[in-house]
Amino acid sequence: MTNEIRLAHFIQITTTKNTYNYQNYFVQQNKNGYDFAPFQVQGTVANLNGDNSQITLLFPTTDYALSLVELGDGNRKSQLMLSTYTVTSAGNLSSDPISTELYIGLGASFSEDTIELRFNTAVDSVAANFPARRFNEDNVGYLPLDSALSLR
Amino acid sequence: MAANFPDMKPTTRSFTMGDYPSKTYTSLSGVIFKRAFGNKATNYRLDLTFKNIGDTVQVRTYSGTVKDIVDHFRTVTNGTFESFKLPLAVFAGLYSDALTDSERKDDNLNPTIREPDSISWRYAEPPRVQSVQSGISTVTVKLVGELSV
Repeated sequence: MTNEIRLAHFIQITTTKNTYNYQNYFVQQNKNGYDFAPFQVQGTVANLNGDNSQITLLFPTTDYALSLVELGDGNRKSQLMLSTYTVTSAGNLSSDPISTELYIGLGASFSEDTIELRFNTAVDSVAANFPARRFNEDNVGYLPLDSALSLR
Repeated sequence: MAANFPDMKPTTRSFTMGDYPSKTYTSLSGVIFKRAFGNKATNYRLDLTFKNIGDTVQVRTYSGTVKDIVDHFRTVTNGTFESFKLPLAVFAGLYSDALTDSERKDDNLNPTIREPDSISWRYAEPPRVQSVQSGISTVTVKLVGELSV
């Protein structure tokens, strides 16, 4: 017994200069305005606290991947819309995506043959200590010079 | 893309089809799940043997020389780094000589073996040269056909 599935990722990256559309399934083709790019998506995490989920777009070190990093100011000012579609055996896309997620850029990292673009969901969960408070001279007086605090 | 492979007719030729990129998950129950990652096959293989060819002097028409292959590998393609196209001579016996190269786009040769899925060829490993006698050698060439953007 065998089950087959074909999944295609469509990404729309908005940098400070322009918007770029890529997909990673239809090789050497433009599908619905999305050019092919050999990237992969990995690493999304969801937990009970509803923390931000992070994903990584992994590109080979190509000229357009380098441009994406630079145009997004080190991928810190980029926005990403990620849609996942199923593909039929005839090569047609499903009419609606399985999911569409929005992310904002966190940064990028490089290796000798790959570029990782890191993204985070834009909205974080509201925690019990919201809004977060910080020690400052107004609420604790003189601040210590080290991290040793006496909570009396 | 580098210049074409030398115009040489191989003595033997072995072609292996490429496959579609996919991964398989086997569950403990034995059920198999497969996920495809692209719509074109890749990793085609083509093994060529050029038996008893001259080291530097061509001994037959389209036999080429060892130097032709070595120079192509070393200086034209920079080893296994750059891809290239294959000339018709490499597929001798598979095509009709009456067809021109442009007519061949509709022929079966190009889409099935010469450049299926618009692949480009690359050396899978450095060519191997076996000396037979003075000035005569046998060369084995292994190529891999890969997709490019």
